[in-house]
Amino acid sequence: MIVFLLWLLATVDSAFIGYREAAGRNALIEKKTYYRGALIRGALCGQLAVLIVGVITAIVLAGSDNARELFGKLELIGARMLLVYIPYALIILFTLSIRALPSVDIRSITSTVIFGPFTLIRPLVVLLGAVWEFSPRRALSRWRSLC
Amino acid sequence: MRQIPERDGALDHAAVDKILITAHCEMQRMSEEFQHGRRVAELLEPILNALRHGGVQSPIRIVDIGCGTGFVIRWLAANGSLGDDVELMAVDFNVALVNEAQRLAAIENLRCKFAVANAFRLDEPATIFISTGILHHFRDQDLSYLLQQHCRPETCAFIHFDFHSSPMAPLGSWLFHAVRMREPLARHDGVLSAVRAHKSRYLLDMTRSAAPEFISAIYGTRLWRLPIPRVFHSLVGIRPEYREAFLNNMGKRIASLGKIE
Repeated sequence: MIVFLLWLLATVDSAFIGYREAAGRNALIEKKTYYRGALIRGALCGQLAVLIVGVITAIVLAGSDNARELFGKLELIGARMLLVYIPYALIILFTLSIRALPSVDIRSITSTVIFGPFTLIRPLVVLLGAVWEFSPRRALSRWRSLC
Repeated sequence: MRQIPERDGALDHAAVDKILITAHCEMQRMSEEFQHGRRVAELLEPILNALRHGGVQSPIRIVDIGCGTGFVIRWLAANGSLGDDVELMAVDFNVALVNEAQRLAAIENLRCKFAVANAFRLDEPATIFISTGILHHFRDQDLSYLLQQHCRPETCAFIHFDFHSSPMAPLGSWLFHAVRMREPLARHDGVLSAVRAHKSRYLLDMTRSAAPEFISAIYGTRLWRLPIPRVFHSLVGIRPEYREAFLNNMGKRIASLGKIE
C-alpha cells in the first residue's frame, strides 16, 4: 500500500509538472486538448523517474543479506515520506475541487492563497519528505535505541 | 544572464519582438488563472444592456486599448456571450504583438479585429473603451490626457482594469511572477506594475476632472466587503443618461461598485 501511494503521488505530481511546463507557452484561447496532452506527457515522464528508483531499489534489495528486513525499513521510510506528502496533496486536490465553483473570485482566491504559494514551497516539501527520516531528532532517537 | 543580440549598435528587432511575444504569452497564462476574460465580460454585460436599453445604435463597438496579443478581445470573441450586435476590436502600437494577435485569432476563427493604431483616432470610433494594465503606465498630465481622450460623442462608457495598489501588492506580485513566469522581462514588469499601481482615489479624482462628461466609480476594490484587497480593480465610467439602467443591471455585483458620480 505504501509503495502504491508513493507511486500514485509521484504520478499525479509528474502530471502537474507537465501542466506547469506547458502553461504560458500556448496563447490560444481553447487549450483543453493541449493541457490534456501536457498532463499525460508529464505523467508518462514521471514513470521513467519511478522506474529508475524502482530499479535501484531492486538492485539494493537483491544485494542485501536480508532483503525482507531491508524492504520493511524502506517501507517505514516511505510511510514517513507520506506523512509529509499526503497532506500537501490533499490540500491541492481539495483546492482544485473548490475551483470547480463558477465564481471568478473564489477561483482567484484558490490561486492567491494556495496554488501560488504552494507551487513556491513545493521543492521544500519534496526535500522535507526526503530528509524527514534523517532529521536530528530521529537520528538522536535511533542512536539512543542503539545504545 | 541571457543577452539580447544586437545589430549595428542597436538591439535586434526580431529578438526583442520574440521576447515581447513570449512575455505576453506568459502574462496570458496569469490572466487565465485569474479568470480575467470572465471578469471583463461580467462587467461589460450590465454596461452593454444599459446602452441597448438607452437606444445606442448597433453595432456597439468595444475597443481594447494597448491589447498586446489580444487575450481579452479574443477571449470575449471565443466565448461569444456579449451578443451579435457587439463588434470587438483591439489596438496596440506594437506591430509584432498585433500580428501575433491576428495570427492567433485566425487560427481559432474568432470574430474580432486588430490594428496597429491610436485607439482614439479610429475610422470607426469606440462605443466602449476597455483596457487591462495600462493605466499605471501613465502619470499626472499623461494620465489626464489619456482620460480626456474618452470624451468624444460616440463613446458611452469605459472600463479600465489595472493593478490595485495595496501594501501587499508588490510582495504578492513578486511571488506569482517568480512562480509562474520564465521570461525575465515578464517577471520584472509584473512586479514593477504592482509597485507603480495608482491608488483608487487618485484614479477617480483624475477621471472626474479629465472626463467630466462621464460619471465614474471604482469596481472591485475589496473582496466580498472584507478588508482583503483585490489584485485588480477597475475604473468604470459611463455617461449619466445610462446610470440607472447600468446600476439596475449590476445585480449582486453592485456591492463591489464604489460610489458612482
